[in-house]
Amino acid sequence: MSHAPVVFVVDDDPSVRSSLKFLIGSVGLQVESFDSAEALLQRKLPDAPTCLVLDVRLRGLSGLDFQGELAARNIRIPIVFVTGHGDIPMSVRAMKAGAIEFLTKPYRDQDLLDAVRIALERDRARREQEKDLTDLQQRFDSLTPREQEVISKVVSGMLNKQIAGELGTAENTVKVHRSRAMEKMNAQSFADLVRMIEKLKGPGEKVS
Amino acid sequence: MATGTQQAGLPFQQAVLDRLGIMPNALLCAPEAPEIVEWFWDFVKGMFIDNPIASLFKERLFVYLSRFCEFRYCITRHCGFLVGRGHASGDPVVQLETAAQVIRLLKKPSPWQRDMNAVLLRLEAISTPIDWPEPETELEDCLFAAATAVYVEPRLRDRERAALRNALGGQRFERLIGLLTLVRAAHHWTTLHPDLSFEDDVRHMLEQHDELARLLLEDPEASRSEMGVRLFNEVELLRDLNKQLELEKAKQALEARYREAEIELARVSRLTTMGELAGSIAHEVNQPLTAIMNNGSACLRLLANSNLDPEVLRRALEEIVADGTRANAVITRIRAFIKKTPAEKSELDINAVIQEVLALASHEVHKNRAAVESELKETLPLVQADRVQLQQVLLNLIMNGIEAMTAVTDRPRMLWVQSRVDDSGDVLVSVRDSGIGLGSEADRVFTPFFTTKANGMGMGLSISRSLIDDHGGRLWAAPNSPHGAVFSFTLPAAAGSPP
Repeated sequence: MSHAPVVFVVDDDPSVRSSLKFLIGSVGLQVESFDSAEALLQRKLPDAPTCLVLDVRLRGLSGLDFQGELAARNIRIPIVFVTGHGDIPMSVRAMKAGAIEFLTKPYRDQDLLDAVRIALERDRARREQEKDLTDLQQRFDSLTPREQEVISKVVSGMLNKQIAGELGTAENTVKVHRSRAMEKMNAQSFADLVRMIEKLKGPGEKVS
Repeated sequence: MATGTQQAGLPFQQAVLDRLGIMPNALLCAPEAPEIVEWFWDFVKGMFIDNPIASLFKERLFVYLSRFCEFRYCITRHCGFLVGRGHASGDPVVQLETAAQVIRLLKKPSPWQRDMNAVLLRLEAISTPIDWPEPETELEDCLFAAATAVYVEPRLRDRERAALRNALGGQRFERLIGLLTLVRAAHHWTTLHPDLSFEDDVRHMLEQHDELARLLLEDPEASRSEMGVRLFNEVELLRDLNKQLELEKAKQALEARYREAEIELARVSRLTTMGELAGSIAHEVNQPLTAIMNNGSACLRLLANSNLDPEVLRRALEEIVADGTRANAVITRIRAFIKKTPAEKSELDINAVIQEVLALASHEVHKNRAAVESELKETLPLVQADRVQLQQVLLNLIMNGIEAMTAVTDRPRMLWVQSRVDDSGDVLVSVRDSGIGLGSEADRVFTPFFTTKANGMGMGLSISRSLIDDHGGRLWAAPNSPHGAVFSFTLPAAAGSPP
């Protein structure tokens, strides 16, 4: 799936904007720059790890407001803030809202590039995790209702015999369901299966 | 009685003709708003014509006061009334005056040409209020002089006002004030209608009496009741007052106000130079600086990988130069701003300046529940310094100290201010606090735009240091024991000042 990562730069100062693009581009990253938060919102985000280098002081929507706006739209792009004059409450607010880094201009180039790398790495990991979960869910959804029922009981610690009793069926039938489910879920071991189901249950409680 | 402008188109105009015998142009001058003219006429009627003051006294006073109006309409019109053209004071049976009488009236010395003290003593000596005096009597003369002074310089003539009240009694006095008010309004009305022309009867009078015409048209007192002249006179008079007993009191009050203004100025200029200005400048300087560093770093990285296209390098260098120019322009602007107020150095007692600033900061100290202890060495040598700049520096150090203690809850918030002479004979001032201290940042606090404060701009200490440098002194920071920081500065003792 993964395309090359893209770094978005939003700064309303043209020379800062173009020099940032140059600097980030100099380490081989793809950069797109915008002069306002509104302009970036017009852009459809690519199917690739991304991050945002955002000036706090912008004409129009401020950087901090933009951070809130992105969260409200459920756009989870990691943000590296840069500012000409950062005070402590401002940076605390930004970091609490999930910013990767809050750099005061002029910053060391290495600090900025490190922050961008961390941000891209975090976005990549998030995307991977989301993808894993999607795959897992698809596999789980491919089970028959009875197979789903059986493995739910298996991972909750019940013995085959107990499950058979509860479902009013033969123990051998339960064993068949169980091994088919293991196969479909691509589980290497019983422990592996438990981990998968726990993951699916995770924050979303997707297992019925 | 020959008048060329006899019209009575509106009901009130008929009333005017009935009362005055003629139609003055002053009541024909705003044909677009006859209701305003009618109202003005009502005012004239109430304050002048129906005002129960003896008719001749009234009309003669009107003429005399009109000497002090630049516009010559009123004085000639009312002279016309006096010598029998129309009814003086609207009174059809008043005894007429001769041209010679009017000339004598106009030639009376004005209050500024005569001994007013004698006039006032005369009026103040009256024990039972008098009635309106006859024309050309000594009492009329005194009343005219006092009334004129009150009319032209109301705020300077309290004694005249009291003397008039004493001579006339309260009721007549208030009627007189009503008349003065009307005359002022009439002058204003005519001055605001500069196109007003003389009536024919008045022209005729001027043609017949050369001397009268000259007196009416060329009175040197004419500009006296103009606002600018009046204010000038009031200022002149106040200057005289200063020479008397009032001087010391006025001076003290002025000095106190000056001091207040000065402290306010120090506060305001601190806020301006170190606050708003610095905030925007920090941003303005940091932008080009950031761009320069971005471009430079990118070039270095590409160079390290032997991956730098000369064309790319050229463009980056061009941008670097452009941004350098931009940063320089900002700095030039700051420098120009700071230089705008040149230091005014004088010999100062540093302890007095410390006391002033502590008084100024006391509100903040109290608000932040801190306490101040000062230990000021007496008999310090004077320093050659700019008071306002020193106030700025001290205020900055004290405010920083207070702010450094806002987070402290486990120990008293104490600020110690100390002055003494150091080993080299310089005056040393230190401000110690029990706040959070500087930690590892002690070296950086004087760097422009460096700040540890929640809403600091990072300019206060760098400006303070440059101000102290300008005075030939030093400003530095050190940790305080066991908590907080101590900021100290020295100033050389003024030449010839005793140690």
